[in-house]
Amino acid sequence: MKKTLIIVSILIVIALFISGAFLGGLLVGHITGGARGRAVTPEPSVPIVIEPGDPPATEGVLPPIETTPPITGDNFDYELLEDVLALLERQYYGEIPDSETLAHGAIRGMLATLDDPYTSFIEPEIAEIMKEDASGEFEGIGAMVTMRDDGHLEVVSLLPGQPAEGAGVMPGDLILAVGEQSIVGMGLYEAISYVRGPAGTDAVLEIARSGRSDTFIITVTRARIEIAVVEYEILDDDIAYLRLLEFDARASQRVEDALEELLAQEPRALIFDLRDNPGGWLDQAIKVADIFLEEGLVAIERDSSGRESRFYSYDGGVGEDIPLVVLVNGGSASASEIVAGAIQDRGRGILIGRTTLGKGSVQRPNSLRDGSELRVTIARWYTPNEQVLHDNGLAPNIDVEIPAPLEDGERPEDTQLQRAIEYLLEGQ
Amino acid sequence: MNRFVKLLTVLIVLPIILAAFWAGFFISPYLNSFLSGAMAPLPPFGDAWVLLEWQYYDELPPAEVRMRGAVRGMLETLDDPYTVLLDPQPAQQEQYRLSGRYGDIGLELWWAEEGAVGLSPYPAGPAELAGIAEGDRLLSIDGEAVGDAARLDALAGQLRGEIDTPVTLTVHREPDQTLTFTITRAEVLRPSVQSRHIPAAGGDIGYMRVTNFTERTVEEATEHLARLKRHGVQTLILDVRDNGGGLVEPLRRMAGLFLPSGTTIYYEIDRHRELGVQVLGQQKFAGPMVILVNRGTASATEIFAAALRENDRATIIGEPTFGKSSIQELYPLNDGSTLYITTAVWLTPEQHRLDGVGLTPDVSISPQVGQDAALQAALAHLEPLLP
Repeated sequence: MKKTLIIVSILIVIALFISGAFLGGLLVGHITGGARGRAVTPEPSVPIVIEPGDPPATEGVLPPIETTPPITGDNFDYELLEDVLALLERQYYGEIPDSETLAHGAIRGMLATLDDPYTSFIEPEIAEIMKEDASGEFEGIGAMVTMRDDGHLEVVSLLPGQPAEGAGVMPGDLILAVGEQSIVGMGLYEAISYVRGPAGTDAVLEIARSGRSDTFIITVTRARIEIAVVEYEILDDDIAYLRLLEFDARASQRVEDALEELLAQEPRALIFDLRDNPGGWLDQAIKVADIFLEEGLVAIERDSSGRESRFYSYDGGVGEDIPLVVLVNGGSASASEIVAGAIQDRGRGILIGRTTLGKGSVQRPNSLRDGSELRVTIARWYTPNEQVLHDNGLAPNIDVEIPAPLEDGERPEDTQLQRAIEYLLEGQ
Repeated sequence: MNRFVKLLTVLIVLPIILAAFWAGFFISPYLNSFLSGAMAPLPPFGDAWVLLEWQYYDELPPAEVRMRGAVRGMLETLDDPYTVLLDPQPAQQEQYRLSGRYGDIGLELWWAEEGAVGLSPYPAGPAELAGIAEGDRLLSIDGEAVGDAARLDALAGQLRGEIDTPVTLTVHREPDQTLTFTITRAEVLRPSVQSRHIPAAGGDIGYMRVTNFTERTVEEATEHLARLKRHGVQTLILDVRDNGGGLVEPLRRMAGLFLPSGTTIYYEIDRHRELGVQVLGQQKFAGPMVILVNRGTASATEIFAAALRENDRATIIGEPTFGKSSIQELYPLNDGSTLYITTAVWLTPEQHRLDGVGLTPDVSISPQVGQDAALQAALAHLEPLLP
């Protein structure tokens, strides 16, 4: 009996110690700002700029209503916002949008005061679709679409062998409704969210097609669809060509698979095309670089207080030996610049094309409670030789510009690709 | 044995305690973020606010700047360009000061005969004190002759400059004097009312320009009207071009100078009621009138012009007006910034709403280079009405 009491007491004391330590941790975390999480790097997004309007002329000056006194406390002071909301609810003549719209507006307004286009806000339905796309596959009908200015969703092209093509959807078709839901006048991502859905379910599309006076229905059974991020072929003179369109969650696997297929044909050299590749996941960038690089440093991520993470490649990649040229241009950003920078700095291959975008910052994605996403710049990248990517970009070893498009609308010759072939054949 | 148990306890318990500490440390910012977000008036915004403070790479702008940015972003979603937040006054004044202070000499410029620029000095301004008289014609500024195709605003710009610097004007004065004045620029308050009389066939026509509706406007206008009437003026051109509005009270009293008491000049509609608003004060002028308007005529001034027209007191000549008929109230906030909220809209006496439409003049006249075409049209309209 006495022994039980002692054991219980000891257990209580231990439990107190543990909870004390936990609370201590909370407190220290609260004071110091807490631990930092792992960073990833999504593609650059369009900056949102909100310009305040001109100050209006004043009509009718009334005495101010009583506003609440400031709430003291470090992070918890939303007094101004609260006051403005209360005043709007009492006085505003027009209709006040729902609180979600107001919250999103407030977030955008707050971000507009930062001088950083990459710290960005993404609405819930867009965040959902971008997350899916970044995973490398989605469940839908397999059509590329765009939102026209008149509010109609237009099919631009069809992924070969996918459900939409099989069901008879054609490029140029306008999708007016999915099931009972009209999607005319919606934003692009909102409309896409209706077209997509779990694999195996039916999308009943109301279609308008030029040349037909009435609309008609096409039923497409949705499927799981992989987004093709690599294009590859063997060019003349036994030169292999591999293009990576973005760094989605499977990019390194796709590059490795494609490269193995190409190498089986024993090409003499490889052109790795990162032009207009907007980037993607940081871990994929490191893995892609590792395919081409032996053991060594790939990139350095450093925050404003100087804390850094170093990312390395290791021996054993399938593409470590083949002569290599990387094509880059002003559309090569973020993860593309990490890979190209490492290959350039380590002397593994040269860059041909134009200076890259210069997006050398790392964003951390955060989910907010309503499903929207906030990407916060947390660090900058440096190449192995400490080249600063941010704002500067990477200068190519050989600068080649693509001529302007011809007048008859034909695509100009790819002079960058030609220069790369010439370099690989002649060694200079 | 006992010792071993003790050692074991320490070996097990210590890591657990450390782990608990680390867990607390790790969870802390998330908890912080969650609680803070939950306490915010718009929870997702609260999340974003805290995450940004926690993670952002660079130094953040001061909290009040970010918060005002957030309020602006929120107000953007209302889709009303007149519900806005203005920065605290000291900041604005500071900005104004940093942008360089400009001096002026206190002269109103107007097109007299075609190609001739007439001068009206502000009372007690540097130009008047130096000896420039009402009706002088401007010949040159700092030796540069005034061309036929000059623009009045460009000329006015030449007159402005840094405080305490000189500007030299050559003017022509009736009948045949040419005079030169060197005037030192100073800080000049522009009066909101100026007037002169314009000779016409059957007698002089009064011209009064009102640049905005301030607290002093009515007093000034009353004085100018009395002066014009002493001069025998029986018709009046009221120029409210580029008058962007102002305060409601002066508007009611200004309208009262020209309309019988009890006349309704507008209806105000807010969320709760519709209210007819009448003029204030005593009518001082009952003769024929023309009101000159342009695209810069906005807000309270549009209502003023509409009220006079719809009560059959004036003909409107010029360009279509701006088209704003909402009323803002102004709320000082605790951080020193000011919030303008659209609280009501105006309807003209005949229940027209002017938003985005503006007033269509009775006689439409587009601006022309080198002369004041609208003023000429007004004179042509009033001359036949002279007794």
